Amino acid sequence: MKSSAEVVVSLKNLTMSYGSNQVLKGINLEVFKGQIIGYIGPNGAGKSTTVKIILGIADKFGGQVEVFGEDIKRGTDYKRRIGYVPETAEVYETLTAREYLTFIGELYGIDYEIVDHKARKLMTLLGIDDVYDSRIASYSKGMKQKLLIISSLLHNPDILFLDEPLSGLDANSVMVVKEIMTELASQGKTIFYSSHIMDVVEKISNRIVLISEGNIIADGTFEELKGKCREGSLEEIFNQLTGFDKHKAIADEFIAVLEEGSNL
Amino acid sequence: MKDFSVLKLLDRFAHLFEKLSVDYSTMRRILQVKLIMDERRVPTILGNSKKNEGKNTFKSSLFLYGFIGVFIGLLMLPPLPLFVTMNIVIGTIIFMVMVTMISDFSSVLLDVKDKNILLPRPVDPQTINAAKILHIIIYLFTITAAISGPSLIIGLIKHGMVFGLIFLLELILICFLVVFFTSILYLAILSLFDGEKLKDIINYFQILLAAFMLVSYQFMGRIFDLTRVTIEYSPAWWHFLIPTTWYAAPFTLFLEHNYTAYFVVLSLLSIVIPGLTTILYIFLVIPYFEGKLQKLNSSGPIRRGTIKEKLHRTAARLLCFNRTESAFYRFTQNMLAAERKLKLRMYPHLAFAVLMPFIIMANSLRYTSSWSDIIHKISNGDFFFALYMTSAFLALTPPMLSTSEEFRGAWIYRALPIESPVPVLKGALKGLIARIIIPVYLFTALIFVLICGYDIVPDIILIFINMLILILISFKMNNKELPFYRDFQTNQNYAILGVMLISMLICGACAGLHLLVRTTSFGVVLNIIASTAIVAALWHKSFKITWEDIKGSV
Repeated sequence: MKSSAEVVVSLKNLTMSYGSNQVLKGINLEVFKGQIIGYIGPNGAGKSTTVKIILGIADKFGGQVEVFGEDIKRGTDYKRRIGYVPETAEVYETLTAREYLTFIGELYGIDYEIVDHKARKLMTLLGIDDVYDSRIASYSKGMKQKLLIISSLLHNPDILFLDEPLSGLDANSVMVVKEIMTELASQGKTIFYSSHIMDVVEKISNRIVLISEGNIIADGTFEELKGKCREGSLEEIFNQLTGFDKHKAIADEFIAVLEEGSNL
Repeated sequence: MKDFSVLKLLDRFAHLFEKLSVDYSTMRRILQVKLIMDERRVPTILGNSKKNEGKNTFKSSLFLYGFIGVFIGLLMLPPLPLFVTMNIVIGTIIFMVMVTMISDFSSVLLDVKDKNILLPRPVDPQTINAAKILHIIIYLFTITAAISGPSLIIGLIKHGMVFGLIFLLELILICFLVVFFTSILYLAILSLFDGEKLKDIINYFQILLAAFMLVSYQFMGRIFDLTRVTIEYSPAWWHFLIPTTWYAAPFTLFLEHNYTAYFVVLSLLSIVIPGLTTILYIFLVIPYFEGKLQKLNSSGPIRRGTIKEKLHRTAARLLCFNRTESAFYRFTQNMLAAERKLKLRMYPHLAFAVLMPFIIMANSLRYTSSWSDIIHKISNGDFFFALYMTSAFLALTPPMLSTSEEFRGAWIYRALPIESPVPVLKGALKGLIARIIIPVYLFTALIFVLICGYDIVPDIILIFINMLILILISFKMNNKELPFYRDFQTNQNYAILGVMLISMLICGACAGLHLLVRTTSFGVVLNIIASTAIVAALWHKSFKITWEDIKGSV
C-alpha cells in the first residue's frame, strides 16, 4: 500500500545539534499522502525540533528534507501548502484577530476581502466571533488555541503540522477539531500530529512514530506496535519502548516526601 | 486597515525593492503590521500610570520627545564657542536616541517570536530582513527627528542653511552609529550572559531613561545660567576618542572656516567611523546576532551565595515575629529584586530621592563664586536638612508595593489559610524598609556625613526615625492594599495626592522641630527618644486591620 501512495514529506538522515547537545541523531522518515501521523516521544526527544526544521524555522541541520519531492533548502514556495499550529501560542498579541488573521492570510497570498470573510466565518463556527475585533492579548487560553488553529488552516493547506492542537480546548471543541482532522485526512491531506495525550493519538492516528533521544524507536500502526510489545494501551507501549518503568516507585517516594513535614 | 504615510512614501521605491528580489507587497504588509503594533506598545517615557488601551501611545511619546528636543535646542542659545555647544547638543542627542532605542525598541530588535510566526509562512528570508531593517530605520528616524528637530530649527535660524545641511547629514550618520553600538552591546551581553541578564540590563537602561527625564527637568531652567560661564576650548589628543567631537568639528570647519588639521581630521572621522561600523555591522554583526538571539529565552540558574541567603533568613527571623510575616518579608524582598516593571516605577523615584537634596544644595550655592567659599558654606551650613526631602520621597514608596506585573498570582492571599492580613502587610512593609528604604537613605546620608562631618550623625539618626513616622502615618492614611495584587494599569485614586500633602506638612513640622531643638544642648537626643516613642505607638496602632479593611477583593 505504502509504495503506491505519494510521498509528501521525506526526511533522510536528519541531524541537529544545539551546541554540544545533539537533539536529532539521524531521523529517516517517509510520510504519505492522507496519513494522520501521531508523532510522540518524551519531553526533549526532538519532536518540535523535527517540525521546526521541516517548516524552515530551524536551520543548520544535517541531512536532507524534502517536501512534495523538493528540497526545502531551495526555496520557500513549499510553505504555501503547509499549515502549522505551534506548541506555544506565538501570535502578535497586540493585534486583533481580524488584523492578525488577515495579515497571515495575505502572507499566503489570499486577498484581504476573501480572508477577512473566511476568518470571520471560521471564528463564528468555533464560537469566538464576538472577539473578532478584540486584541488577542485579552483572549483566554482556549480562544487563543482556536485562533491558532484557524490561522493554520486559512489557506487550505495540504499538510498540517499540529503541536498539541487540543490544549486548552473544551470537550466540545475537541470533538469538532478531531472531526475536522479526520475529514481533512479522508480528503487526502496529511496530518502530522504531536501530543503527549496518548489516548487521543491512539484514536486518531493511522500511523504512530515514536521518537526518543533523537532516534525513531518505533514506527507503524497502533496494531503493529501492540503486536510488537504485547502491551494494552499506547501509554503502556510508550512507557515500555522508552524504557520507563519507575512510575510507581517515583509516585511512592513523592508521597513519602509529602508526609515528611507532618511528622515535625 | 490603517495605512501609514511612511508606507506610501515607500511605495515610490517599490521597483527598487523588487530589484533586490524582495517581495514588496509582502514586505509592505509586514511593515504595516509592525507599525500598528508600535502604536500600541507603551513606551517607557509614558510610564505605566495611564490606561493606554486604544490610544496611539507612540504618537503621544513623540510629543514628549519633541518637548525634550526643545530643551536640547535651547542648549544652542548660550554664547559658548560653537564647538563646545555642538558637543553638548550632539552628546545629548546621541544619549537620548541611544537610551530610547534600548529601552523601547529592544523588544523589536530582540524579537524571536517574529521568526516563529513569519518563517512557517511562504515569505523569503530577504523580505523578512528587509522589513526588519526598514522597521528599525523608520523608528530610529522618527525618534531622532522628534528629538533633534527643534535643535535643527534653532540652528537654522541662528547659523543658516549650511548648518542645517551638515546637521541633517550628521543625524543620519549618528543613527548608523547608534544601531551599531546598540547591537554590539546586546551581542556582548548575550555572549557573556543569558537572555534574562540582557532583559535586566535593558531594564536598567529604562530606569536610567526615566530617572534622566525626572532629574533633567530640574536642570532645564538652569541652561541660561551658562551665559555667565566662560569656556575656552583647547584641543587635546583624547578628544579624538569622543564621538561628539567628530560631529561637532564639521560645524567649526564650515561655519567658522577653521581649517586646522585638528578639525579636518575630526570631521573626516565623523564620516569614516559610521561607514566602517556599518560595514562591520552588515558583514559581522548581523550573521552572528541571529545565532545569539536563540540564547534569548534561555536562563541560567539564579545563583545566590549560601552565606547571603543565611543572613537574609536570620534577618527575617530577627525582624519578624511570626512565620507568615517572615515569609512575606522574604517574598517582598525577592519580588523587589526580580520584578522589572516594578523597578522601572520605583527606581527613578529613588534616584530622585537621592539627588533632590543635592539639587537643592546646588541651587542655594549657585551664586557662590570661589571653591573655598563653597566648602566653607557647606561644612558650616545646615544642608543635611535637605535629607528631609529624601525621607519625604522615600515615604511615598510603600503604596507602590501594591502593584505588580504578576498581579494574577495574588489569588494566593485568599486561597491560603492566612487568618489575618496583618502579618502580610507587616512583612511586606518591613521587607521594603530593609531592602530599599534603609540602603537608599544610608547612601544619601553617608554623602552628607562625608561633606559635613561626623557631628551630624545624631541628626541623621533623628531624620531617619522621623521618616519612619512619615511612613507609618502615610500607611495609616492610605488604602490598605495587599502587596503585589493589582496591575500597573489600574488607576491610582487621587486620594494619594491628599496623603502626599499631609505627609509633606508632617515632614515640614518634623524638620522645624528638629531645627529648633538643635539650638539646645541635648535637644537632638531628646527628640530622638520622643520620635522613637511615636514610632512605637504608631506601629502598634496602625496594624489593627482585618480582612474587611483591605481594599479591593482579589
